[in-house]
Amino acid sequence: MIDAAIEGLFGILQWKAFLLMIVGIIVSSTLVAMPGIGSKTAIALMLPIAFVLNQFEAICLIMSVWAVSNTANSITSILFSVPGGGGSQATIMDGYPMARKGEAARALAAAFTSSAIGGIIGAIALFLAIPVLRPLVLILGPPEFFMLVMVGVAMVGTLSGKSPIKGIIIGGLGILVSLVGVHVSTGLHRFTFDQLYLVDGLKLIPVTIGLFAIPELIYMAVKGTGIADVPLGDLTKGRRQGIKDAFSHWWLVIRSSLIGIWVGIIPGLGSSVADWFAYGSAKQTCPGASDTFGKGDVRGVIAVDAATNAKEGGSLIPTLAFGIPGSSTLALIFGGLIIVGISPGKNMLTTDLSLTFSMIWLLIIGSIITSILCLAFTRQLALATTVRPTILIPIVLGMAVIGSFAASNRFEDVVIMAVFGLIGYFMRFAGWPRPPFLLGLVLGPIAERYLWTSIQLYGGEFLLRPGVITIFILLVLVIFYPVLMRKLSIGKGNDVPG
Amino acid sequence: MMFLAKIFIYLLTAAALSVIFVHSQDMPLAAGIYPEIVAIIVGVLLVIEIIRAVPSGSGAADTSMGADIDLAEDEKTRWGMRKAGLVFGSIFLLLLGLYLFGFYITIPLFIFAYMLLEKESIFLSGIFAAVVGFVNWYVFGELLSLPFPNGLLVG
Repeated sequence: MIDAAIEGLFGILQWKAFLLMIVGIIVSSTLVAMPGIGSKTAIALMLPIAFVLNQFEAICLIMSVWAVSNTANSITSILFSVPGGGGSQATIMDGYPMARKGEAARALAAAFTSSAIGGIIGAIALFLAIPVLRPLVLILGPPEFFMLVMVGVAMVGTLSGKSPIKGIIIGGLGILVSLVGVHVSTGLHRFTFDQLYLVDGLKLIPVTIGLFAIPELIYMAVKGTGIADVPLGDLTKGRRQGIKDAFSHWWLVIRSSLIGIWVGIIPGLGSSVADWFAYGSAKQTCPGASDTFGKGDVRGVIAVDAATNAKEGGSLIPTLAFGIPGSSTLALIFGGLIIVGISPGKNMLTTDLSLTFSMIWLLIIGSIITSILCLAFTRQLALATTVRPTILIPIVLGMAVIGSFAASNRFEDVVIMAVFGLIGYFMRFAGWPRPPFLLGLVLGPIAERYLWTSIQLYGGEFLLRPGVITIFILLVLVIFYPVLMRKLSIGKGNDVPG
Repeated sequence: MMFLAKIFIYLLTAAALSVIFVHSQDMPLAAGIYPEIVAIIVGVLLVIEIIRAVPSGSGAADTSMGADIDLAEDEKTRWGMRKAGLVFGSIFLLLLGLYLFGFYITIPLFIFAYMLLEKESIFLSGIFAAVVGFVNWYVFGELLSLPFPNGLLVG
C-alpha cells in the first residue's frame, strides 16, 4: 500500500500531470464560479483533451475540475448573495451579511481556508477507507456487484428532487440509450438501424454537452447580464483574520468535515444537502449561534465550506470501491475514467491502487493550491463573473462543438450534441430531471454485463446469495434515506435570504 | 409552452420505448431480454406518470429538479422562448457552417458574427474570434491532432 501511495504521488507530480492539475483548478475556479455553467459542462469540455493523456494526467485534469469546484463558488455567494453552485447556498447565510459589514475579505479567507482543510480531511477519510473496503471488495462476486450497480441505478430517484418516478423513467431511458451498438456477449448490433455511426453507440460527451451545456447557455442568454455589477471594495483587509478564524475553530471544521464526508458517502445527496446539514449542525452546537448566525457569524461560513469540500472525498468511496457514482457529475467522471482505461470498482482497490492514491493526493494538493489561488486572486475571480453572456455563449458553443467532435472524430457527434441540446431544453421546460439520464447511460452496460455473468455462473439463484440479499436491503435504505435527509435539511434551511 | 414541452417528452419517451420493445422481439434472448425488461418497467412508470399529470393540466408543471438548475421566470416568457429559439437557430447555422466550410473557418467566424450581432465591438469580437480560432488550430488541430473535416465547399 505504501508503494502504491508513493507511486500515486509521483504520478501526479510529473510536470505535465501537475500542470494539467493547475489548468483544471483554474478552469474550475473561473468557469464553475459563474452561475449557469456547472462543473458537468466544464468536465465535459475537458474530457476530449483527456483522451490523449496517460492515466495520471487524465486524472489530474478531469478530477481537479470536479474536486475543487466548491471552493470558488463561495466568491459569488459572499460578495453578491448569488450561489455559484449547489454547495454554496448556505454560505450566503452568514457570508453575505459579513460582506455587507465590510468583512468580505475575512469571510472569503475563512471560507477558502476551511475549504482546504475540509478537502484534506475528506481525502484522509478516503485513505482510511481503503484498508477497510479492500477485503470487502475482494469477497464480492458479479451477483453482488450487479446488485451494487442496481443501488447506483436506484440513485436516479434521489437525483430527481420531488419527482422520483420521472427520475426513474429518465434513468431507464438512459440505460436503453446506452444499449445502442454492439452487444458484447453476442456481437449483435442492437438498435443501430443499419447506421454505421450507431455501431459504436452514442458517445457520453456529446450527449452530456447537449443535455447540460446547451440549456445552460440558453439560461445565460435569457438572463442577459453578468452578475457582478456592484463595487467589490477592499478584498485584502481582514484576510489574515479569516485564515486565523478557520484554524481557531478547528473543532467546528473537523465536525463539519465529518458531516460532509457522511453526506458524500451516501450516493444521491450532493453538496446542496451537505452545506445545509453542516450549517444546521453548527447553528445547533456553536455557543451563542442562535443569536449570531444569519447576521454575519464567521462560524456559519467555516462550517459550510469545510463540509462541502470534505464531501468530495466521501463521495469517492462508493464510486471507486463499488462503481456507484453518487451524482451525475461523478457519473460523468466515471464515464471519462472508463474512456481512458480506468475501471472504477474492484480494480481501484487492487491492481490500480496507485491511481486511487493519486486521487487522494490530488484532493489534498488540489485543495491547498485552490485555496491559495483563490486567496491571491479573489478580485480577478470575482471579475470573471462579470463576463457578459454575449461573449461567453459563442465561445462555449464553439468549444462544445469541438469537444463533441473529439469524442470519436465524427461530425455526427456534433449533430447528436445539438439534438440532445433540444431534448435537454424541453426536459427543463417540462420539469423533467436530466441528471438521471447520465447515470443510466453510464451504468446501463455495466449492469447488463454483471447480470449475464451472474446468470451464467449461478442461474436465477444468484438472487438468493446472502450478499445479494444484504445489498438489496441496502438498496431499499438508499431509496428512502436520502428523501428523509433532504426533508430534514430543507427544514433546517428554509430561511434562505432572497 | 410547458404543456407542449410535456407532451413532447411523453411522445418522445413512448416512441423510444415502442421502438426498443418491437426491435427486442427479433433479438436472441441474451441480447433482447435486458432492454425488453427495462422498456416494460419504464413504460409502466410512464403510464403512471401520465395518469398522475392529467389532473394537474398544463399550468401545474413541477419544476423542482433536485440537482438540476431551476427554470428561470424569464425563460417562460415569450421573449425568453424567442431567445432560446435564437440560440438554437445559431446552433443550426453553426452546424451548417461546419458542414460547408469546416471547423477552422466556421468557429472563429461564428464567434465574430454572434458577438457582433449582440452589439459587442468589432475589436472585441475580432480578438475573441482570433484567440479561439488559434486555440482550435494549435491545441486541437496541431497538438491533439484532431482530424477536423475541411467542409464540403472548402475541400
